[in-house]
Amino acid sequence: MKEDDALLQFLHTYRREAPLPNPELEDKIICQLHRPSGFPLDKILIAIVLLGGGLFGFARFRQWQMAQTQLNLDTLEASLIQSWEVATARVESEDSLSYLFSYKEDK
Amino acid sequence: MVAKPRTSPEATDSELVHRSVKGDTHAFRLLYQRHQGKVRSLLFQMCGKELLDDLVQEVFLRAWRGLKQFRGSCQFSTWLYRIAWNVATDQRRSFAKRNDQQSPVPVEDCHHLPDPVNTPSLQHLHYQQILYQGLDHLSAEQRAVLVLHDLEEVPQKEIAAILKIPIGTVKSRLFHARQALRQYLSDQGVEL
Repeated sequence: MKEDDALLQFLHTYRREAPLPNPELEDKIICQLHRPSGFPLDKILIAIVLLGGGLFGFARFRQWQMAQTQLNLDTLEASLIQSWEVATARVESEDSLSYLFSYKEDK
Repeated sequence: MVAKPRTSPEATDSELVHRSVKGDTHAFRLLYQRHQGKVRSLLFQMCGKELLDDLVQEVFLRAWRGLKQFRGSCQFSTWLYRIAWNVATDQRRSFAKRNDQQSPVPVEDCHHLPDPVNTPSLQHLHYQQILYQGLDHLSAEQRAVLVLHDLEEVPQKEIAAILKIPIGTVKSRLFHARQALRQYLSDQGVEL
């Protein structure tokens, strides 16, 4: 196509050439070939192991904590029942509103 | 002690790749010497000269690390061009991100004043600048096809393999890229 030919002519006339590389670039690249890659697999593995260990430890701690809570639940329940019994007994013995809204100083 | 035979510079790419996979850095050096010019030129046309050496280095280091995955289903140069295209795309994204944060300054054109003895005319430099501004106006996909085909003279079939797109898409992108560039040049007063 005539239009394309003219454009190609323009591109070839005015294209820029890449600047020459740094003379040390080739050696620099070859020196880096046997260096460990940017992807630190060993460090990632260590991090995974540490994270896994931490999670396992936390899970065990929570399990122990739950067991402790379970033991205390009975005591808590008994304490609540006792305090409610005391409270309801007082309300039944007095006028509930005056008990709630009037302050009487104990002598 | 028997000295290890040096890789011959006449060896084919696949022989050099085979040796490189086994850790022969001399073979890889020959591959570098053979292909760095084309890779460098492609990266320059796609990204400009800023960080060009770093980009070339990145391409060859990625190639070295990925050699074991190179199955030989295409030419080594095609595979290497694909890596160069990926590096160029990453770089263009990072340029774009940076330019969003700062106002773009055409440092390249401001600070490299031509050597008065050995330089093309001002008109030549002006047209060069317009051409590269026009290329900047194209999408990354259109620019890649135009650069590979019209500047680097890579065949359409190979471009399709490099960019992993059908050959029909290559033709279509080339058509639209040329049309957009022609329009831009025309808007800038360039008569073709």
